[in-house]
Amino acid sequence: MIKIDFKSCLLIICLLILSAFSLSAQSCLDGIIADAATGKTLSGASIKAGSKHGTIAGNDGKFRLCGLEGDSVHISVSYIGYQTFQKTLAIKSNPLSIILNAEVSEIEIFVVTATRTDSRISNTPLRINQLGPQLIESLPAQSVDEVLKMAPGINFSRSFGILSTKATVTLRGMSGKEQGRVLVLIDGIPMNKSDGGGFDWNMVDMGMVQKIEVTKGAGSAIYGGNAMGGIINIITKKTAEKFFVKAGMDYGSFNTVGGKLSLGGSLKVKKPGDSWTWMANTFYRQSDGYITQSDADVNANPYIVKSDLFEAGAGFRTRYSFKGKHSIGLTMNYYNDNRGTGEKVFQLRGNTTEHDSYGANLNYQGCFGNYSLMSSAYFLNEDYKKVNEYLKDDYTWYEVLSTRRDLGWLTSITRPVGTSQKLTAGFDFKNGSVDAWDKYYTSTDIVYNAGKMNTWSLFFQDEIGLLQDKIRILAGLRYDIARFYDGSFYTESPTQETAFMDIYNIKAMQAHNRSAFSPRLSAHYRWSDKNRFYIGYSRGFRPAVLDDMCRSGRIKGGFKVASPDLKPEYLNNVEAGFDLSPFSGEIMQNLLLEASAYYSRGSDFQYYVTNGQTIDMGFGERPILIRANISEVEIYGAELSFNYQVNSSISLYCGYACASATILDYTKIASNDTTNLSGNTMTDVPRNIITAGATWLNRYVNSGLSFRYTGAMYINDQNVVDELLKADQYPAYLTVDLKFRRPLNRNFQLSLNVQNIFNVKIYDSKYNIGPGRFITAGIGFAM
Amino acid sequence: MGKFISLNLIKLQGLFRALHFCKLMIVPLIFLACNQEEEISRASVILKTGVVYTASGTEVSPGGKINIGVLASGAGAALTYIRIERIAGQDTIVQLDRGIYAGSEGYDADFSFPKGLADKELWRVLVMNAERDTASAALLVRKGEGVDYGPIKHFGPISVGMQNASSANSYLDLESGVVYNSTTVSGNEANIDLLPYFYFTSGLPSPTLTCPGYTSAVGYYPLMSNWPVKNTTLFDYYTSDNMLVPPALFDAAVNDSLLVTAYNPSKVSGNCKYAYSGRVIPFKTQSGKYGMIKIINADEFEEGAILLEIKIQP
Repeated sequence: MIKIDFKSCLLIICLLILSAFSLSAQSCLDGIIADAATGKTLSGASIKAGSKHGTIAGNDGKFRLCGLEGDSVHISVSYIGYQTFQKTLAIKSNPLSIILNAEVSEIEIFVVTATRTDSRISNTPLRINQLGPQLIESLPAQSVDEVLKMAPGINFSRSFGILSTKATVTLRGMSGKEQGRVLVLIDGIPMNKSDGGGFDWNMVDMGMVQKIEVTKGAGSAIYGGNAMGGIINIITKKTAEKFFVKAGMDYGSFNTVGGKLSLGGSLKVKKPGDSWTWMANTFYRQSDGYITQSDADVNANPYIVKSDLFEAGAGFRTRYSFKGKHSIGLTMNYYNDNRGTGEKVFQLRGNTTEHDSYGANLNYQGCFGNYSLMSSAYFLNEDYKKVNEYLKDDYTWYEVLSTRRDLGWLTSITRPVGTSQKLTAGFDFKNGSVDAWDKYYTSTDIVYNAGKMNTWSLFFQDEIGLLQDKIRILAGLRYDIARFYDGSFYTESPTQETAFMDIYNIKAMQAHNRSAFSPRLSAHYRWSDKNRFYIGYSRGFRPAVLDDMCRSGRIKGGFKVASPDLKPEYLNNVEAGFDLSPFSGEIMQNLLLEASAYYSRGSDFQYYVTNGQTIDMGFGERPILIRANISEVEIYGAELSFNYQVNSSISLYCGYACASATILDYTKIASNDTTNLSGNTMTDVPRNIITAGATWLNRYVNSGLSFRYTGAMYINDQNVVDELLKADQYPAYLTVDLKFRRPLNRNFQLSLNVQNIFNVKIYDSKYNIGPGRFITAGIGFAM
Repeated sequence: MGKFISLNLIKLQGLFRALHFCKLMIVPLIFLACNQEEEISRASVILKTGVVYTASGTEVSPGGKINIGVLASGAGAALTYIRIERIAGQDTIVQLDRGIYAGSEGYDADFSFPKGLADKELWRVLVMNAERDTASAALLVRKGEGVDYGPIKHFGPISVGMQNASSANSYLDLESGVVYNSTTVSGNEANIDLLPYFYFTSGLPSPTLTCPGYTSAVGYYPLMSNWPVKNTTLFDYYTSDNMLVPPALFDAAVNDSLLVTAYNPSKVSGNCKYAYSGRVIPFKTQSGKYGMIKIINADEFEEGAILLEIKIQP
């Protein structure tokens, strides 16, 4: 709480007196707002003068502000899709002409993901898709992964909308079942957990996302593990303003209520050239949810309830820049959710999952002569808790408690050589660990598992430009070596619930090392600003996850045995593509066509495979399964996208992607295994994906419309009819989403999101049903 | 000057807010870091005494009944687990292993088990509460003279209809061999021990035996959703799946010896899949009676029926 003492009172009184005096010297300011690129006037731009005055530009882009005091005033002009203009101006400089630069020109040209350096997209011989702030704001998404589903070729899964505990975003023919084959970064920090390879998409506050970079194709040459299908880097907002506050509330389907608040600013620093910024954010959401289970399940189980949701998060970041060449940043995040999973017997909240996640990272960027250095240390902790309770013939209640930690130190150093070559080298260290138990309350059993993995990596990269950068070559090589150690799995006080696991108890698993070489070589030829052709080869790998290496337990279809000797999966990828701006006229010059085709061969892919034995887990004999490197796969596909910026307020986009993912060779580890997956199609890979959308910004209602078609995909590895879904493939489906935003004045904005307008019902592999149409309305405040 | 002060005040407020935010983040972490002594609710259990209960030191002949009455409390936490073990020398056989949920009212239940062949049997009752605190009580039973295997009742063949059967009734009372239909079962809910249904599971057709107390049975028999009493019958699926009791042995049984010895209490469920023709399934009813079912014929469709014979303790 802030105490107001005598001095503060005096200050306030002085301010009031000064304000009274200034009333006698009021005057008006006239001006016009225009687009820097086209010179066209911008209607609807928000103009703020000082802290008290504001207006909105009219149809002709003109504005007039009266009642101003003094000789000068601090002007701030903001408009969606443009960089905010801020300057202190003399009032006598009337009339003003203010030129706004499009936000995209600043943000979307530069990418950091593909090469771990600040590089222009046009100078990077890879396929990169960017989702900028304009698109992010115009999509009716509740979470950041839902934004990504509109990028071309993205395989997206979020079965229960906001109620989903798990969401996945993959690409380039990678299965939508697992996140582990696509690397997810937040501001360059790897987020895939060593325990399961996944990432909790729910923990990202969408209001803090500035843009998302999607680098397609294998990218382990620069980032190491998990970058098989590609890399998704979520770039968060940076503070440029002296002080800002943003807040919003929304309400919608299933009695969903949400709120968010972010504030930040810059602190005055004595030394000229130094700056210190800070930003804090928090968000909250709760929902009554809906019944996710099928009608048959509801009829068979009187304990089924709605799957509901509580979640909250907070973050704080600060950055100190000094001497114009160095900066140190600190970021801290916290997230907690509790999601009901739709069954309640005796416990207050029934079956739930809970994540209690926190993390911090400290990063440094600086220049020493020609060398620029980037170094980040990070720590991520997730305490996962899953409460399971059910009543069959007797009552079963147990909790899964798992502490998953990942920490690391990432460092790269870059040196330009001449004007068109850049050398980068670096080393990374990562440590991942899991310490988990299944604690039973309806029996005496406790099942423990734990394991750790250290990864050391060295990488080198050369970016070369030839013929005045018309030809760019990107070459890289990385070596990763990982050590798995301290693995254990054992039961304590077993009863019939877990006694069958006794024979798999290992209190000290043998440590072992694994390594991977990941090269990359790609090049493009650019014959004009927007036209190029590229070709490349790269390799990706996914390390084995701790959950597979050190945990045994029940899974769908049988009993999984820990597999500490599991090796990484590898993927060799070749691809080619082009960017084309086929028209040169004033109207059509902003039409951009991008196309890519890729062919990948994967080796040592991990699958669950029977070891030929069975086990009775309390309900009859079931196969014993083990995760093993048994499969060679072939994945190929193509992507095509059109982007057309009609004018400064209307943009259109559409994309098509097809993928074929086939298991080429399946090696059995037991002679009595009757399964043969050779020739089968991999699960959860849609054959075709079509996306399309439009955004229209205007002073009345800013609108965003998006459309997505997801093709049919196989349900199981055997490609046979599933007992529950009575089909071998999930049917194709189509969703249409819509968003409206209307600014009320310079501070307030209303919004309406409608997802899945036509209420298409989508089922998962357990015949659980998606939320269908989901509507929220919200109000936002910005100052 | 006024604007300068105003701007700095805003900055100052921003800083205070940031510091307050940090405090909100850090204080819970400090609290979390402090170890707190938690008070654990102590579970308790006593064995009931009286003429109907077997007293410690009593002699019971093999096959004779050992009656155990249990009174237990979680003392502030719900009681969630009960286990009854028969310990004979080095051998421990779990006779009952159940998850339960008993709140402040405590747990009060009676059980009966057959006496085995060992000279001395220690019967140990263990309970656990939601804070995983355990308590146990035990009684010693000595072997009596001779054997005390009792008579049995034999019913069959009986046709029991699957969930969509129109030609056979589905609600079976194992103790009387009577099968009720959806009308006549009204008022007899407390007598129903078995209902069959058919479905596919793990790619196999499965004629299945279930009981009213098995939660998902209501999915096949929605009529049961409002039943005031739902009996749980535990079927020994392991003996059935592995065909450990041949039909000829079932046919030859003239007392309850086979019924009580064939039943393996560690491999039981209220739902018994794959009840194919020729299988013999030991069971124990809610009222504690042991028995066996012989499947004479099992249809493999939802409108079909199971033809079976029953042998059960009277």
